[in-house]
Amino acid sequence: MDWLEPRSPSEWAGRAFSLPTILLAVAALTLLLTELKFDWLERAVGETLVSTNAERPESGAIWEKGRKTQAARTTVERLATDREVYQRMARNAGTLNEVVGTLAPGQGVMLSAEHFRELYQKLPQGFTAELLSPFDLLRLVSEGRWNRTYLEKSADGLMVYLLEPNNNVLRQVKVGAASLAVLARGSTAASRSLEDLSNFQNRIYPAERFFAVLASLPADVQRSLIPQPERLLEIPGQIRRVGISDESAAGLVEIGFETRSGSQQRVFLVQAQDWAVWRLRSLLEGRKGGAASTEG
Amino acid sequence: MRRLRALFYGCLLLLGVGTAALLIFFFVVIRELPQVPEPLSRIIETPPTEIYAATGERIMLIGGREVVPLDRVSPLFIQAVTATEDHRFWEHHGFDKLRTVKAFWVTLASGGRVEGASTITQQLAKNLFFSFHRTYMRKFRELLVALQIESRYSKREILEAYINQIPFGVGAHGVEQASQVFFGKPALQLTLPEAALLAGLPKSPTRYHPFRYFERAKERQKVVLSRMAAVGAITAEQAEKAHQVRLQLREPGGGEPAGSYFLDALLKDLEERYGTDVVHHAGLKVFTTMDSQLQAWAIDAVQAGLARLDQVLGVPAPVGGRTAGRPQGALVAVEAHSGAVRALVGGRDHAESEFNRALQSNRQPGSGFKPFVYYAAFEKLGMNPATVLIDRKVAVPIPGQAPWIPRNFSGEHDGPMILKRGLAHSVNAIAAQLVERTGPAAVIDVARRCGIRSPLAPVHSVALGTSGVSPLEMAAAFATFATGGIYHEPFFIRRVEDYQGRILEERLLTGRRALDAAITFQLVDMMRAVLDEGTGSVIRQMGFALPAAGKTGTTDEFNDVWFTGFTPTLSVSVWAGFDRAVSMRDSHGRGVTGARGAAPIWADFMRKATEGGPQREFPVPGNIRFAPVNPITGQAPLPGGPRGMEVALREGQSKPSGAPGGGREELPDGERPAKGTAGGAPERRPDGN
Repeated sequence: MDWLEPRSPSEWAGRAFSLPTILLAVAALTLLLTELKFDWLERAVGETLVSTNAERPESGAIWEKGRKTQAARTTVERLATDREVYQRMARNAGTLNEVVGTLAPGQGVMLSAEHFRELYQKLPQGFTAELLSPFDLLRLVSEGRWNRTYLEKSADGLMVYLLEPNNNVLRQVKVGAASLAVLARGSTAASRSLEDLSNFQNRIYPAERFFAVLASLPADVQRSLIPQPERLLEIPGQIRRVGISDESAAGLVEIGFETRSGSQQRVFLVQAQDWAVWRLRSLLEGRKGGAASTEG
Repeated sequence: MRRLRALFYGCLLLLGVGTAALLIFFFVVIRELPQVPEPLSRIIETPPTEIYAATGERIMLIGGREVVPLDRVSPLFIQAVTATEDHRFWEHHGFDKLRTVKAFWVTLASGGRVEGASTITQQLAKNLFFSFHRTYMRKFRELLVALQIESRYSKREILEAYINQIPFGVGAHGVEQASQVFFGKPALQLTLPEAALLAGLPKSPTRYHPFRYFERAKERQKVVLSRMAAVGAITAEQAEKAHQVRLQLREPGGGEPAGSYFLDALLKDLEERYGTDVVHHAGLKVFTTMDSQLQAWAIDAVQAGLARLDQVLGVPAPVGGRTAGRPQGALVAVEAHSGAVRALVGGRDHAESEFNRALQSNRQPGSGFKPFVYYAAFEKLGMNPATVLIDRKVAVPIPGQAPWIPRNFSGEHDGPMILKRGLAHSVNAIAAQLVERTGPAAVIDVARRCGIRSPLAPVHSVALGTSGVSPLEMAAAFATFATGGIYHEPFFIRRVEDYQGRILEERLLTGRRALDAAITFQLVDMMRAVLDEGTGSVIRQMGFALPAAGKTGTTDEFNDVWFTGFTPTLSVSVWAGFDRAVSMRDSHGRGVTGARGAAPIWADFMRKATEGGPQREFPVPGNIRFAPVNPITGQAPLPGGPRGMEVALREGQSKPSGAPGGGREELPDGERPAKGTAGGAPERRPDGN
């Protein structure tokens, strides 16, 4: 249907006030008034936005703050977890060497006094003297103030803090890196032969001569040389040669026992007290006119 | 007619295109709108980092909010804030059309003045998601988010979120915190005048800051009250009456934690260890070394001491609470046997100046540095408290420069005297002779061993404290004397836990031997004489009677005054002076000394800090014995004469003989005590330098 243009003002007026126009105007006015009264447009827009909320970006100050909170919590979680892991590993450790092995430089672990005492008892004799004399430890135990022990590894060794319940340090001891290395090496050398250990190459003796000289020494010197001889008996095979290290660390000198069992050859290490080693060496070297043997 | 027709069609086309463009624009814009968190309360759920005093109470929250439900807020505040910010809040759907039309009209009619019409919901949307740059696009986006919030949440939820996050100034976010800061009460107890004052602040927290611009704040309160009356929340009479009520604002700074300077230092420490985000957003629990009671006493002592200093100096009363142009002060109290900082005050008023003079201000300690000189002389030269030197004019030759000629504070010289007397009376000529013999490096070495980290110039005048140090350094360094030579690093944090209570770190209380115990005891014994009969005797006059030792310090021109002293358990350093190097003189032109400006603050604090505690003596090492000597000759006092001065001597140090005037190698030929003074010291007025 063609729309015909009004030709005169009266025709314009007639059309303006016609029923459809009035109905249209009323509808428009109703829309406007209901909007003012019921805010339907705002509600419609609001509902539309609610429906699209999940698809929109998490942007703005409040989300930024949330992200910072999340990141901060993650950081703290990592710190706390790391600490817990170290603590757990330390609690499960059977030796001081194992505890030290779990730590990176700058990290530390807290042990109970009882746990530290257990670890202390497993330390090589002589090493305990560098760490803390058993008598000092006994005094601390009897005083009843020693509650915990904090071990902190650094680039140049290990700090040991004996603490009372309020974290006051009762004693602090530093164990040097060289001593830690001796401790870390423990009783088994990675090498299969005494010749492979550079420190031992100057003083290697046949086992029978070593033990003959050892037998000639007083019992207290023997104990200072081999604190737990029964452990040597547990070694499978035959001890063929014995070497003495040139180096001393923390008042200890290592003695290496080379064994052969079938086709397998191994070296076991024992930490002996240096004064006893000097005595042994003087006898060993005296019988040979001061020259060490390297014969097998 | 033709034109009319063209116009009609044109309008119709424009309407169609406009509607289409608006729809496209709307759908484009909403894609970039921020997501609204669910639930809305999440916006105020950030866990705060909690700071605890050593005495157990929580002293600060960082990053969180003191959130209160709507029914824990005074209804008067709710009425005031809605009447002022958005009186049709309960009726509209996030957008007040009538107010917007009115604002648009006013903006057009006033030619430049922009009338705001943001509803509370729009303000909430702005605060949560948008920057504060005024653009039409931001306003439009803000409006859309407001409409979404209105569609999703109830009016009460929206209002609760709003009142818990709006800023009121001075770091107070949310009505509960604001109520505490300005009135020291919970938001539920706000009265009409108080509620009206607070409700007026968010418009411009700086402009209407009640502590600084009280009159402006009152004017704003009047506007709020009239708005409340206009919307029928109260009557005009109630509004007028409320405006007339005299408001009891909390003391400026009263809303801040008692140890604000302490907390500043603590936060700096924490942020260096964990990073800012962790400290502010991770909900840590930090257990500090601060003793709240000591901290409160320290603040009181500093403020009272500085008020006395104001009077002495004739400083005019502050205008509008401002402290600029008035002397400042600092106090640090360190637990001697651990290094724990128990109290720290870095200025007169943290609300006025956050510059922490206890840590950041390196000021010359003057004679306060002499104990390091005496220790160096004892250690390096084998001297002892009974060694005699002559108080005389000294000119220390400096290669390539003019000789250093230190002057005594009194301008006079008293001739021979033992070192104990020289320190007690702070004789510069004696200290100068000591540093000449030890060399400045030895003095600096002792200071470094005692924890002084500030740069120290390797010159002879270092003996008289010409290199700046902080009160924290001084307190920790003197604590080394208190412990018989064990230095403890000062610290603020005992333990840090995460939000689940897992320990992140804990402090081991360990020290290192920095000084020899016997020499240190000799020095401590000499420093006791500073209080008992020397420059710090004002301490005893003020009634502090417990065993203590210390040293006054005053710089040239009286720019800085110090007193650092200690008991066997607590080491405290006090500094006072102007921030700029300004001489402190009274109305008679007399300079203010450490004894006059700083020692009274120390005594005031220590009297309270030690009240009711046991009397503890400084432990005497086994190789120390005491002997009375003539303070001039260093010899044993004559039988029947005055008792002389008791000195502490180490094993191997010769016991003074009875021969008058004989035997001390420091007394040159021809120098003998004045007649009639062989049995005791001449009267010397403590000058407190």
